[in-house]
Amino acid sequence: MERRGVSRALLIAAVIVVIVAIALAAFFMAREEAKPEKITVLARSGTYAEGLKIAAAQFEAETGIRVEVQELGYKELYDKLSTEALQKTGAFDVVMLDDPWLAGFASQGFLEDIGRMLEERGLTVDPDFIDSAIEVSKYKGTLYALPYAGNVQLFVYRTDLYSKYGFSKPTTWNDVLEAAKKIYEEEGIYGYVIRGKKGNPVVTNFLPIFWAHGAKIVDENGNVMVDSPQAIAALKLFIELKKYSPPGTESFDSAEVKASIFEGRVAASIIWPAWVPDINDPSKSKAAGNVEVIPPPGAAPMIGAWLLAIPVSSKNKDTALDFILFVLSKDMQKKIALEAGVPPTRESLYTDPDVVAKYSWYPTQLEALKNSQMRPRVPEWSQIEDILANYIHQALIGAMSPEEALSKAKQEIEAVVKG
Amino acid sequence: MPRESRDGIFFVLPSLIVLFVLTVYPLAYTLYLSFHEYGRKTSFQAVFVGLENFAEALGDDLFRTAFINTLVFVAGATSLELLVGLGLALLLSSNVRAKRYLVGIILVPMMLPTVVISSFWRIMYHTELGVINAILGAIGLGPVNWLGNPDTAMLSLILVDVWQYSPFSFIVFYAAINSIPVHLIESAKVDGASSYQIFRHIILPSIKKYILIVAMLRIIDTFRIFDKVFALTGGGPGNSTETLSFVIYKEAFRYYNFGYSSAEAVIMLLAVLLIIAAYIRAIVR
Amino acid sequence: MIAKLLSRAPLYAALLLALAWTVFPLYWIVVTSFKSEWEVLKWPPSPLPEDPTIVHYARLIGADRFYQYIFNSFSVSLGAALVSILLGAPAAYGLVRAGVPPKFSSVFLVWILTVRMLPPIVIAVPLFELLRSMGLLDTRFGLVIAYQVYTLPYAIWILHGFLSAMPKEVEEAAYVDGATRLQTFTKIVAPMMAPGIIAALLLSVLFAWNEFLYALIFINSPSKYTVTVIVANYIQEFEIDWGRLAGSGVLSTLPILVLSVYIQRYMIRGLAFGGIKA
Repeated sequence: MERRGVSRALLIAAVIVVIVAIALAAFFMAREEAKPEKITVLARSGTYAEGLKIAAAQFEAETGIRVEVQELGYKELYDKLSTEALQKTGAFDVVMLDDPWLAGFASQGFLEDIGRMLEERGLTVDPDFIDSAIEVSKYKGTLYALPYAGNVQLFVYRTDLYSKYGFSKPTTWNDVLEAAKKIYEEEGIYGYVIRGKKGNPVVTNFLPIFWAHGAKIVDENGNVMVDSPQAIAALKLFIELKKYSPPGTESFDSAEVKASIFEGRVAASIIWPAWVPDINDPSKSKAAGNVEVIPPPGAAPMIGAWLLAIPVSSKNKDTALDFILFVLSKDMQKKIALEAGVPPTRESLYTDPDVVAKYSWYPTQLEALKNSQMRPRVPEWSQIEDILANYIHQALIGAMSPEEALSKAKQEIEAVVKG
Repeated sequence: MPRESRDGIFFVLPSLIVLFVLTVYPLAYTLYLSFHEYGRKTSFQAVFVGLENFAEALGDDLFRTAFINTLVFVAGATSLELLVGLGLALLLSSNVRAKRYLVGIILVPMMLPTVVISSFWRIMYHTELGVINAILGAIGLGPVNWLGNPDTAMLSLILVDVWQYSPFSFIVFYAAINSIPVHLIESAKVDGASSYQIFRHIILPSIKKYILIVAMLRIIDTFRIFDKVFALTGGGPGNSTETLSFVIYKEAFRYYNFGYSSAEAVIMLLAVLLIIAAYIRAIVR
Repeated sequence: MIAKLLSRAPLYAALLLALAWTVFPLYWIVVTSFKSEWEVLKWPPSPLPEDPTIVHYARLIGADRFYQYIFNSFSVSLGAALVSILLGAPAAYGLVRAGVPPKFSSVFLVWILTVRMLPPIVIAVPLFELLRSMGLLDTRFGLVIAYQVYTLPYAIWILHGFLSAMPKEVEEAAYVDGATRLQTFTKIVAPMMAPGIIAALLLSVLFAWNEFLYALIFINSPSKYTVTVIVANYIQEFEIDWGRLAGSGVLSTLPILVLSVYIQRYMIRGLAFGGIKA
């Protein structure tokens, strides 16, 4: 009697657990499944997402298909894309990628072959797209994405301060350093500002200097070269520049750099163009009228295009491609450039009178884009970037000598590349 | 009790199953993974590698640094929280007005989400524009590069934790002090005992047990620090605020080295258990 | 009188300091959330907004759809708390009253107490795989399940404490009247446990509302983010767009502040029964 009672109780308990679990699961999943036709876009927040929202609204008006733009910050975006590449939940139909991430995601089989999709529709890539931007959308010759933002690193300096102390437009990093020192000492204005936050910021901020010194991350034979004499010289110059940068520059990100320039507190900096659409607007920038935007001194500038791609897990790939092509059409890119300040990826727009009227440095930017250099296209780039970030940062804050930092970075990068 | 039987199992079983699936199985799986290479490099196939992951972890500079940083955080935060909490409890136990409201206000920080609190402090810590440096500047100090300087970054994290969790030790001590029979303290006063003597000989002995328990709970909690690092420093500057949870998180969910991260996790778990066991032994003795 | 006040001056000074230490960050965030984008760049920072603005709140509620994250947090918290009570209340009853072998009871209680020591990151990978195999990654329900690791033991422990302190004569009377154990539980015990259940519920809600690591790992779509994950994203993203960041902080703590009066009462009892009386 008692025995039977227990086993019956066990059975009832198990049934209750299962029912409760299923009921709750069904409730939550029903909430999440039942949706009308729409596509979901995961984008980098800020300007880039703003641009997509402009396009999304118009796309919706024209096709009746809803486009939900979800946005995340840089690191979070990468992390979520990585997780999605693993989970393949199909939560996203279009994803935005920073160009150095492409190799990693493409090699993982996360991205749809857009070249093939275009071919099936009898389309080819419009030659109006800037070659270097298409180049970064490819991995091992296959087109996995299309370029949305034609970002390339540029350099700004204060023409008034430079000419006051007898400097002309800088052509080498030593010029920048000398001017920074002089202006800092004489004028009491910081001569430079480093975007020194650990992670992607400090690496992208340092690489132009690194390249200008002739240093390389990996040479033609796949050897890791980050501790070459050129690399060490570059890091030393970077650390020198910190002396003339505002306090806390080792934790600055784009917003602080932007604020420093706009508040007129620094004389020069490396920038991404999307930060500065209103740099010469006197109502927002105290430095308005005295800032010149040029390619960074001494080397091919770094491309940092934002790409649009389609995850293989997407359930609406055709609509996704429709939307991407809609966004990247000439008219829409122009609209996005004018309204949100996203730099286009079509050559013709850089000389378009309406666009140039608003962004006077676009011809310069086009030149920079055409001659741009890309970061190494290896699947492990993110991890390499984290390692570089760590050691550049250690050297920047003085916790390690440049030599020690770079030789440790080399060891770790070798372990990752060969691992 | 009527109808004495064992059918209580019936009531416990659902919880038992759920907790088994959610704790015992994962622990076993973590242990299993720790002996394997499993992740992006092996295309998500588990390859047995014996103790290799453990050997690698023990020789890993970043992991060791994270371990030491974690211990520093645990020691700094726990001890400060005990002190501040005790101070607050003594303060509020004296005869002051509006006590109930004061207690209520003091408890607020411990109820807010850590990430949100971190955002508050991030705003206040800012080197150039932050209010803390503004206040320091007004009295002729600073500016301190709180989160950007490797010497102060860990201290900054500790301070946030102290702000958030001193209320926890406070409320426990406060409750304990208030349960001390009033006549004990009154008669001590009549006998001419000083405040310090009352504290030393009456209050302290009767709340000692609680101090030890609070310390243990805070050690357990601070050992897993993740949110503050994620939101405030990202492990930087340099490696000065890398902690165990953060390093393991990155290894697992950023680089997909699940095998290696599991080995680190096993080491972390052993460390917690050892520390707690040692602690319990020390106080039981 | 004055002498007495004077002698108490240090006491009040210390109190004031303690209060300032607690309240200042909260005050500062509220102030910052009403400052314009350019006013936060002012040095030294102004103690009150010079030109108060609600643009940040308007933006958060409008374009950023912050209410959706609050809703996510709310449904996950409530879901986690309810599941914990549904599972935990019977368990606590079984342990205290329904004749579980004492050895089993103590092993079980020690086990769930040990779970508290388990750092969440240690079992994150297995939980990730578990949720994936059940198709529950990137769902709010998956998060509800994952939170049981911590909320369920907590609920059992608190309810166990409440029940142990309750007289059992009432139940015995019910048995005498011929009620079954299940009837006794639903009709007599559960209502009497109400305060304990509310305590466990509130504390579970609090835990889930504040949790970050699992929400970060197990949820992928930004539209399903909980408030902690979206605020973490904002910290990186808004950088020094502090008005918006501060506004999001205020919005995500308001619900908890509203509950705080109740939570506090139960927290003290919960501590007495659960955490401390170990």
